[in-house]
Amino acid sequence: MTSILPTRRLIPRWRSTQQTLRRFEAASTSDLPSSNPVRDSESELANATHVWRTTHSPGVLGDVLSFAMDPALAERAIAIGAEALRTGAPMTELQRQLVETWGAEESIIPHVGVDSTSTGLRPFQAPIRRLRALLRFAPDNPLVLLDFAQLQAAVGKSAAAERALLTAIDLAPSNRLVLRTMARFLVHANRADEAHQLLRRHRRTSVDPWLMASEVALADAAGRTGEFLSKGRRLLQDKGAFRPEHLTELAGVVAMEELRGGNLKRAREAQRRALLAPNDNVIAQAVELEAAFGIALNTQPATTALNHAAEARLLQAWISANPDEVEKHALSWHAEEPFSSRPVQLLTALYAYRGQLVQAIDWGKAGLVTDPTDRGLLINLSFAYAKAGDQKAAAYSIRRLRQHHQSTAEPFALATEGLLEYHQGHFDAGDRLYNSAARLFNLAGQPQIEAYCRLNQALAAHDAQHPRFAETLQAAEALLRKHPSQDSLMLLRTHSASVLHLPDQQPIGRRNLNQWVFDALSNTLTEKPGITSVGASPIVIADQRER
Amino acid sequence: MKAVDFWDALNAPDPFVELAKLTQMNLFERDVLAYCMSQRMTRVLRYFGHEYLWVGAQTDPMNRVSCLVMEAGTTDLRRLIVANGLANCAWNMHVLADVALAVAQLHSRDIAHQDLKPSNVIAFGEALPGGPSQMKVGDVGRVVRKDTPGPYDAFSWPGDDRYSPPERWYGYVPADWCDSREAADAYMLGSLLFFLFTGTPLQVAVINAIPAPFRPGIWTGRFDQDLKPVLVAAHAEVLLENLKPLVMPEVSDLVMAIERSLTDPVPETRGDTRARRQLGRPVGIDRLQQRVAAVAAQCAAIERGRRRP
Repeated sequence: MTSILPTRRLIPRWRSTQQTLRRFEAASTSDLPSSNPVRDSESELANATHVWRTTHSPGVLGDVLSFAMDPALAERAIAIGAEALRTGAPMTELQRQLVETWGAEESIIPHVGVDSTSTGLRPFQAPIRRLRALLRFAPDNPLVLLDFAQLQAAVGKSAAAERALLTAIDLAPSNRLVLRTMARFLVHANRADEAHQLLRRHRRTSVDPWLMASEVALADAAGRTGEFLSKGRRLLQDKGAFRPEHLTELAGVVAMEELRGGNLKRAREAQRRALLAPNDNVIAQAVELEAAFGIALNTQPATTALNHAAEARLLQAWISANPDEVEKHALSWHAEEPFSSRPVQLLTALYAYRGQLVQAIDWGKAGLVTDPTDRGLLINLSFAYAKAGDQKAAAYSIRRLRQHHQSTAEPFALATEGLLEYHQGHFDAGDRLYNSAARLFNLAGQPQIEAYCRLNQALAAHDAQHPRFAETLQAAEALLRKHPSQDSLMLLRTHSASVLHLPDQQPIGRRNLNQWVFDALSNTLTEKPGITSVGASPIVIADQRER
Repeated sequence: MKAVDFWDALNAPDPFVELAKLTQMNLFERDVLAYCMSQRMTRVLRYFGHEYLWVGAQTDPMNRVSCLVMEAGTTDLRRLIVANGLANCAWNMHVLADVALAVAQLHSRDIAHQDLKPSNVIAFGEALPGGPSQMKVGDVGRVVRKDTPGPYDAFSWPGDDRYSPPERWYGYVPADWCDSREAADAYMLGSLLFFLFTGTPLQVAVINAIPAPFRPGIWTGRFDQDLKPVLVAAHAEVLLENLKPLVMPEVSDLVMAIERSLTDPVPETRGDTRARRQLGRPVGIDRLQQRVAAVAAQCAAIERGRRRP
C-alpha cells in the first residue's frame, strides 16, 4: 500500500525567487509613502522624439525609450518605439525587447524552476548552469543563491545548498525572504529545532508578521510553543497594524493553534482573518482543513488564491478524487518546489494506483535523489515494485524502509510484503502479513489507514485471483463504511476493476466568511463580514423594520 | 554655444525669484567652466568666454541673450550609436575611456558631474565608430562641488531623473560625499557603457526587470536589505543577458568586471574595490579609467590583428 501524507503545517514555502518576489511575502510591510516614481517633462520627450524623427538614430531612440521610466510618459515613449518597430527604423535588439515587453508582468529575472513537462534525465542541469553563470558575475547576489540552493537541495546536495544559504544570510542577514528560506531548508533537512531557533532569536521577528508566523509554525514542527504566539494574537486584534495580505500567515498559524487548543470559535475567527487575503500557503492549509474549520472557500480572494496555488488545487483534486487533476497539479507543484517530496509522493501514489508502474518507479527514484531516506517515497516505491512483480527490487526497497523508519513504516512494509506473497500465489502467507499490518494500524489508533489497508488487500486479492477474495472484500467494505478516507476513495476511483462501490458522502454544510445584505430602499448591496451559521444564504434582504 | 532662456522664468508666478535663480545658475556654470579650463581638464568642454547676442530686433531688450561660448563638437553620442551588430568594441571602450577621464579629472578637483548622459558627451574629430575621434563631456551646469556652495547642493538629484542611479529612485541619499556624488557619477558612467553597446540606457532596462512590487513609485519600504538584493539580481540579469553577448569574447570578462564595479546598485560598494578600501573611500574612477583604457587598447590590437590578411 502507498503512504499517507503527513500533517501539513504553515512552514514558509520555498518557490523560485521570481515567483516569490511577485507575492506579498516579499513586499514591504512599512506604511511609509511609496517612493516617488521617476519623473520627466513632456517637452523633453517631445524634443527627443523630434530628434529621433529627423535622425532615426538608434541612440536617440534609446534616449526616447528611457522616458518610459516615468509612468506618465511610458505609453508615449513605448508608442514611439512601436513606431520604429513598425516602420523598420534601425533599432537594437534590447530596444526591440523593451518595446515588446514593457509593462508585461514577466520580469527579466529568470525563472529557474524546472519545467513541469520536462522528461529529461537531468532537468536541473540547465537551470543550475545558468545560476552558476549569474553567480560568477555577481557572487554577492543573495536571491540567486537562494535559487541555487533550492536546486542543490533538489538534487540531494544538502551540504552545497546549506553553504549557499549561509552565504545568502551573510550577505543579507535581515532579509525576510532569505531568513524564511533558510528556515524552510532546515525543516527540509529535518532540523526544525535549528529553524525555530534562527527565527526566535532574530531581531526582525518581533516586528515582522511573516517571520512571527513562521516562528510559531516552526515551533510546532520542533515540538515547542511559539514564542510570538501571544504577540501574534494581539497583532491580529490591532486592525490597523498591517494590511490583511501581510497578516494572512500569522492569522493562519493562530487559527491552527486555536483549533488544536479546542477553541473552534476563535479558530474560525482567526481563519476568517487569514482568508481575507490568503497566499498559496494559507489557501493550501485551508483546503486541507476545510472540513475541520467548516468554512467554505468561496470568497473572491480565496478563489483567486486557489487559482494560483498548485498545492491547494492538488489537495482539492485529491480530496475530490479527481486523478487527472491530481497529476496536473502535482507536476506544477513539483516545478515550483522541486526539492519537496510531497508532490512526488502523491504523484507516485497516483501512478501506482493507476497501474502506471514505470512512471511510479521513475518518479519514486527521482524523488529519492533529493532525500534517499524519504519514508513516503520508499513506501510508494516498494509498493510499485511489488505491484510490478519485481521481487528483488521490492525486497531491497522494503529493507531500506525498515532500516530508516523501522517503527513508523512497519505496517506499510508488512502490507507490501503481503502483496508480494499474493503475487506468488502464497495466499495464506499474504493474508497473515496483511492482517498483521491492519492490526498494527488499529493499535496505532489509525482506523482510516486500517480500512485503506484492507481495501488494498481486497484489490490485490482480486488481481491475484485469491480464492477467498469475497471474504477480504467483505471485510474491507465493512471497515470502509465506518472509516472512509480520501485515499481509499482515490484508490477505488483509479483501480481498473469496479469491485466495490462506496456510497457518496453527503455534502457537509459550510459556513461563509461573509454575507451580502441587499437594501431595497437604497438599492445597494453591502458586505457584512463575519462567519455565518452553517448553510446561511450568501445574500439576505435588509429588514426594513430595523431602519 | 549655450544660451540662457529667460522665457520660462518670465512666465513663472514669481519672475524675479526665477530670474535670480537663473542668473545664479548661469554664473555658477560659467565659474565651473572657467575653473575646469584653468585646471587643464582635457576631456571637459573648453570654455572661451561669454557674450550677449541679439536673437531678434535690437529694439526689444528681451531679444538680447547671454551665451556661454564653448568649443564646438561634431555631434553628441546619441547620434553616433549605430544599430546593433555594428557596435565596435574598441571604439566603445575608447569613448568610455575619454568620458571616464573627464569624470576622473572632475573628481580629482572635488567636482561631481551628476548629469552624465549620452547627449552630454560631445564628439570631436571624425566621429564615426572606428574613426579617430575624441570625446568630451559638456553641460557642467548641474555639477556639485564638495567645498564650494552651488545652486544644486540642496537637490537630492540635480541631474536628469532618467539617468539617475537606483538609490535615488527610492529617495535614498547617502550622507558621504563619495557615496552620494562620486558613486552617482560612476553609475552614470556604467550606464553609458551599457548604452554604447545596446543603444539603451541601463536604467530603463533595469526598471523593466524589477518585479512590479519593488519598482520606484510602488515600493513603500526603505532602501534596505529587502530591496537591495532585488536590485542586485535585476542588474546582474540585465547585464549578463544584454551586454555580455555584445562584447568581444576576448575581453568580455574584463568589460563585465568594470561594468559591475561601476553599476553596483549599492552606492556604498560601488566603484573600484581597492580604491574603496583607501582612506576616504574614493570611488576610484581614475583607476577604472586606466582599466578601461587598457581594455580599449587590447580591443584595438585584437581588431587590427583580425583585419590583417
